[in-house]
Amino acid sequence: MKLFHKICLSFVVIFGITFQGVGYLLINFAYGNAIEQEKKVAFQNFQYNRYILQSILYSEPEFFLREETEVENISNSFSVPVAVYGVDGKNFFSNLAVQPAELDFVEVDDNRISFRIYEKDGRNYIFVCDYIRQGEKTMYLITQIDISSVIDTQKNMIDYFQRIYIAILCISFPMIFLLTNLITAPIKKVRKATRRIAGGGYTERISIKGKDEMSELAYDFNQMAEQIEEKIAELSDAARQKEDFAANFAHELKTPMTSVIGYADMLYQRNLPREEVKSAAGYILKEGMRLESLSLKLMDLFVLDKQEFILEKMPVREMFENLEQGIEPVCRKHGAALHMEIGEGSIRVDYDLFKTMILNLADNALKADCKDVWIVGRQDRNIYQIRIKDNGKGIPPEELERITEAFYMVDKSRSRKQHGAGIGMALVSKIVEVHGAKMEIESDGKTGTQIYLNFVAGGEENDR
Amino acid sequence: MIGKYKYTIVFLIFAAFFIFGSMKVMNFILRLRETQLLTESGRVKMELPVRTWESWENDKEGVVSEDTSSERNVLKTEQIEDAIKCWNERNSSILHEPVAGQISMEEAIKAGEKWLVEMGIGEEKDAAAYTINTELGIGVQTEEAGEQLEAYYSFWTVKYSSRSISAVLYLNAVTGKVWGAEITLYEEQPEKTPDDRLRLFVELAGLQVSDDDSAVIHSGETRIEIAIKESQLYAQERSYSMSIGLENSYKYTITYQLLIRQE
Repeated sequence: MKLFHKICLSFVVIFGITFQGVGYLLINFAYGNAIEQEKKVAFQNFQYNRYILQSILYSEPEFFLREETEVENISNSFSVPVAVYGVDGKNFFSNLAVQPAELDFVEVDDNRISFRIYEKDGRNYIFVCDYIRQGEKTMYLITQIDISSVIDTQKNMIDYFQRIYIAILCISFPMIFLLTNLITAPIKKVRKATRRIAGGGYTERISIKGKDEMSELAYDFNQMAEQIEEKIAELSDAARQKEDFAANFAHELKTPMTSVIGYADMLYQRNLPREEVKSAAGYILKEGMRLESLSLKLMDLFVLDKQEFILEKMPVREMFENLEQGIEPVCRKHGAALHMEIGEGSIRVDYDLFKTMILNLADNALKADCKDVWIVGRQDRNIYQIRIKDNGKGIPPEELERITEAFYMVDKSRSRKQHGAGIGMALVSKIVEVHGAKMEIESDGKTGTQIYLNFVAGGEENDR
Repeated sequence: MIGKYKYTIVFLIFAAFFIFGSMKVMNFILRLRETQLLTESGRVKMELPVRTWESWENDKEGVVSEDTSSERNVLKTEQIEDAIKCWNERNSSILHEPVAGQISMEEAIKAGEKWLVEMGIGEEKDAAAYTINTELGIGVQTEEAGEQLEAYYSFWTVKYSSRSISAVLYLNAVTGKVWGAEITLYEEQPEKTPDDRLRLFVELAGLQVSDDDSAVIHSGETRIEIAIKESQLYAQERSYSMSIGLENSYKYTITYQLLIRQE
């Protein structure tokens, strides 16, 4: 059953229970009250007729010893039908609707009176009985009052109440439907939006009005939709990157392999002079080394994702003094000047990874045809910042976001000429991540590039 | 089509089932309650609207009855006034059995007979000469039973009927004095003058006529009123005769009342 029907049914049930419950209490109270009132009337009537009987007995103690027909004349003296009988059970007079014996009163001479509510031939009566003493005479008096009209009134009231119940339900049914519709309308809205999102409409949102629970649900739903949209975008991005990776990887394999196969085929098919054989073998060797380098870098990239590294606290200046010996000759070979200015401080690093990272960044700077490479390190509060700056060709700002993707190359033809495969910056990015550091790249695409590496200065942690 | 409205149909079936089911259940419960109410029986102690009269001591500040036999049943002026006020303003009366301190039915009937004789209205007869009807009640303004009142608020109403007289006397249940009467005579008029009759009524009521000159408040053809000594009370007699159609047949009606003067 749908929520709409459940709410509707709940309304009907609550309404029904409340109405019937309140109705029962009211009718029960009225009924009980009416019977109590009738009992009071019956007792007063009894008292009145007791005095009448006592007056008769006072005036004529032997009245009930008269002829039966004479005794029957006293019926007019009483205000209600009565029965008078002796303590021996002898019936002196009765004009009750039932035989006194049928009422089965057990009355004794005390200060209490007996009563019985009794139904006879569809009519209801209250009978009251007590022990009457007048002079030496003792006898029982039973009075009868008819309460059938009261009972009929109560029964009519119940019928009337049930008619009102049905009538009010008929009136309130459309109202219950409307009310339930109002309550469930926002839920329907959420359901529709959910279906649209399920169908791919990730931009779907619900308009929020008011501050009730449904508005809160709508707000949470919108938050969830936003998260889903972001996640989907991320997943799409990751999928695209994987696709690009596979395509680039295939392409990077194919390029050297084409040269290798071409030259190998030439050596196999033709008898070439010694010089040409040497040249072809040189090409094969060069491309093979390039493939080896590519595979090693890729292996590093995968290893970085899987392996845990132990970071050690090391002085930055000391590390760069060692690194300078490796970087400086390469710079000189490319005709570039290295300017190194490293301040005091220490950071937690895996030295080999750190070295790979700095060499890759320096190599990238040199590949950008720079004339100068600046490596500056300084500590500011708890951050140790290493800045690597060059005055090469730079990177177009719109491509800055993608340069850490594997196989992404800003200038593919130039990169290949320089035996690049677009893995370096991806590797650097992973190493930065392993060190818990942050990398920022700035470039206008014309006057060089600045790369900032921010490490936590000092640090006590020794895991990745 | 049915599939689309399947839940609506189920809902309507449930709702109808509940609506009519709840009606049936309520009717059933009410029927049980009705059976319980309409087969009720038992024994109950009648709640008395008055308390037992315990203030029997003589109160010298009070209006003392001249009847030595009932000297113990003395009421203060304020109590008499309260009792008269309550009785005169009654809308109905609650009947009850006499409580301790109140006179019995026999005493009330005898006191009434004696009063009739002393007033010169009736003759000394035994009870069989009259058809007598008595009741003891307390005057109430509403049907709602309140707290118990003092015993002196109760009055015996004694009706004497014979061929020549019909009298309704109102006797205070504590003092046994007649504080009101409605008498209809069918054969002969009383011999005493209205003024004498009213003074005698006051005296027999256990009260005293005011001593000063302004004792007679009103004196007319059908109504005479006299003040009661040291009290807001005054006694009133209304009398008139009326032909009842037959030749030389008439009835003479006299009403005695004790009333309270409005300030």
